[in-house]
Amino acid sequence: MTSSDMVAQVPLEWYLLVSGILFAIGMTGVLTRRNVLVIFMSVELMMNAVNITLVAFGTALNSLAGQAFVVFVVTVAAAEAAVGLAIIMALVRHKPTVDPAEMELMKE
Amino acid sequence: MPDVLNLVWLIPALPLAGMLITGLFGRLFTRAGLRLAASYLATACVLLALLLSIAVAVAVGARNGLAFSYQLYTWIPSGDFRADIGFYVDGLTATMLLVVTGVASLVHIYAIGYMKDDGRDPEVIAHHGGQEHGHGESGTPPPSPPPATRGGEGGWRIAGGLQKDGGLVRFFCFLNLFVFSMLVLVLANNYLMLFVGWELVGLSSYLLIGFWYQKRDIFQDIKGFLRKDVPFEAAKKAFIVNRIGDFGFAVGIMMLFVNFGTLAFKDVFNMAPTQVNNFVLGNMTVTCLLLFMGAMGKSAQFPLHVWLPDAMAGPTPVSALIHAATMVTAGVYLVARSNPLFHLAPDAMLVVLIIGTVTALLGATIACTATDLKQIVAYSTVSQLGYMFAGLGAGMWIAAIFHLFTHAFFKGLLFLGSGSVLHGMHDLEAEGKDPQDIRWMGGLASYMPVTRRTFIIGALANAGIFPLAGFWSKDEIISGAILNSGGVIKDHAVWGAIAGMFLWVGSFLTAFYMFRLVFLVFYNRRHWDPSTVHPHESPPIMTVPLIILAGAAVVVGVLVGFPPEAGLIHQYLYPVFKGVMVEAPASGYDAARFAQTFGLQLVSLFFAALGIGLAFLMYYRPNTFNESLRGALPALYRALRMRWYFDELYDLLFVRGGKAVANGLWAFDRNVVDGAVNGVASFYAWGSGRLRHVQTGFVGNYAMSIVLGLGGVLLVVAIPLVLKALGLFQ
Repeated sequence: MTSSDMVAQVPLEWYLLVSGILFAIGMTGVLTRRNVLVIFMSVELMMNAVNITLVAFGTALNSLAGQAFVVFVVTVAAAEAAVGLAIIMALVRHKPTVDPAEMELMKE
Repeated sequence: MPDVLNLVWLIPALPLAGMLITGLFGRLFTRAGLRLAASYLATACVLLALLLSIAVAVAVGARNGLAFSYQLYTWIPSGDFRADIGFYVDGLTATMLLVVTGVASLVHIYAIGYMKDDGRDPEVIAHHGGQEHGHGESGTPPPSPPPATRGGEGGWRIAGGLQKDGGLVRFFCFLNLFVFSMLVLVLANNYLMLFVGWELVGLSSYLLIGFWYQKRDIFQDIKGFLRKDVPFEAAKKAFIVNRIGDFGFAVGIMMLFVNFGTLAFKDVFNMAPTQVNNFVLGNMTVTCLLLFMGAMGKSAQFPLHVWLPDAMAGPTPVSALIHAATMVTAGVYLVARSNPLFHLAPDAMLVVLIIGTVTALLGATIACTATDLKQIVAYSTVSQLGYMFAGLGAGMWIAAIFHLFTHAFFKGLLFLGSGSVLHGMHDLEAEGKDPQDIRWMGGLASYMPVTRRTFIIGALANAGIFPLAGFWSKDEIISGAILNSGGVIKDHAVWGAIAGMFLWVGSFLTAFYMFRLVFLVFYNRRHWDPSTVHPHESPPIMTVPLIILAGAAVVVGVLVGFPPEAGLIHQYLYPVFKGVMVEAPASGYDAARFAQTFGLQLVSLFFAALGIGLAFLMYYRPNTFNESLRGALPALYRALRMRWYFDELYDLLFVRGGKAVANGLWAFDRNVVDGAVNGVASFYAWGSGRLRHVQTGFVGNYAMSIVLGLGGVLLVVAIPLVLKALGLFQ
């Protein structure tokens, strides 16, 4: 049995389910965790969930567009991570904490 | 001779030039010491205008009164509407021209002497003033400080005060402005130009009444009451009351335009008989009443008469010119000029008759108890104007104009004579006593002979004593009202008779108050202190005009008005009123006619003689009769002294009422309008105060809001799908 056979035998819905669960977990992490670095990891997790969805649909519809788009997403994710970490560095210099609850500079 | 009529534009142009020169170059005149030259220039302009007016009057007579219309240029060409600057000269115009320029010339001459010291440096006067008798009404500064009565609070001075504001030149500038305005009014050939002259005359009156605008004096009358003299407020009052009438007049003019499409006299009067039933808006009666409203304001008729007595705060030449002979007659001229319109509105004529009669009595009654020399003459003017309007309302057009003509002379004479008396008694002012209060006078007969004699002639003319001027004109009005010679009074047996009887009572009162004045001023007992007050006769420059006017008062009546309704003036003015008169004046002496009218005139004479007799008994020698009379009718006396409470009524209704309305509106503006604006602003402030708490600064909260939004979107998308799957929704 080839790998493509094995992949083709896995139903599309399962991929979407996995992706959805991952997304939910990532979202929970973003909303709940008290460590900005962990929040970032959760965001990355959400993005990867989206990637899975894109690839699954690409295969199911026999289109390379899904995989091409994933390349873009990964690139943007990398850039975003860099910028985000830079911001965190600047914030930490202001107040040496990683707890988002204590970062209230934008409070009105 | 007919060429003179082409020069008619010169008549108003001359005083206009005089005004411009004295107005623009007045400073130069004063600085070069040529103050008197300016006054001579102004007087010369008016005298020249007088000569031209005489020539024009003769020319009009030569044309048998055919109207001469002369257009200078088109002022407003605007679609269907055209207003020209043009002249319309007929018998009525010529008569008014003679009156205006004649009296104006005499007043100018008189004023040269009267106002000589106005505006001069007090020091100069103090040095030279004692030697000459040419004192202005403002008087020389007193040699010692005046006695301190209750004055001095907030700007009030005790008696007298010199205006150091280029007085003489400014005065003549304004006088010429006035003459110009009046001539424009009289010569106009359309209602709009007449209105321009009308407004200008009101303006000149304001400027001249308030001439001594810095004066805020307080005088003491013989009973110790204080009288305030603030010319500026009198000027304001005159202008404002005038304005009310002008409003009616303007609306009337607009109605004329809406209904006739034109404002030129010729066109309006030609169209009137046919147009009267085709009015687009309103009707002829309303239009005429509105025009009459203007006349009420300008000519001080009830209820807009309140400004004239207070206007005596101006210099006496002003009173003589404006408030006796010219401006106040503008209203009479307006109604007379509009006779074709009024003739088509008999109800309006009746209103004019009634208001004229009421005013005649109103003025006469108040004058009986007034104590201010000039105010008595002012109320006399109000009363005589009432007679003129009564004449107009009764259809006695020519008689009313005739009375205007004679009244100008004898009233001008009375005013100038009053000025002469005041001039001689100016020392009263220095003592802080009210110089115009006749109760401070008395026994002046021997001190001012010329003034006394001319004044008595004026009083006799005013009272209507045969054969002086007033007899012919005033009594023609009364007899015309009773006999309905004008043919217009509806139910004339009733209205004409009532009006006539009231006017007879008015004759009695007129004679009474006039001679009360004469006796109290010139006879009776001296109420002044000979050591401080030195009455003296006025200089010739002031007495000569008096003599001229006295001569006119004696002869003019007989000259132009005899026989009654058939004299020279009747023939002269007939072409003007041809369309509205019942019959032409008889060309000769008609015995039956004469007897009828003359009989009624004798009744008036009888009443007048009664009045003089009563005044003689009460006032020639000091006695207590008037005090007991006062005691017998205290309420009536008080009402008369308070001028029938008109000023108080208007103060309550309009001044306080106006202030109340203004305050109410201000409260509305402050609370409602500003409240709404501020309320909107404060609502936003409150709202944003609440909303800002969303910005917590916690990134987690912001992420949460993103998630919630996402959830909302999903719901909106998902719910229809779920329902569709379940088959509950299409």
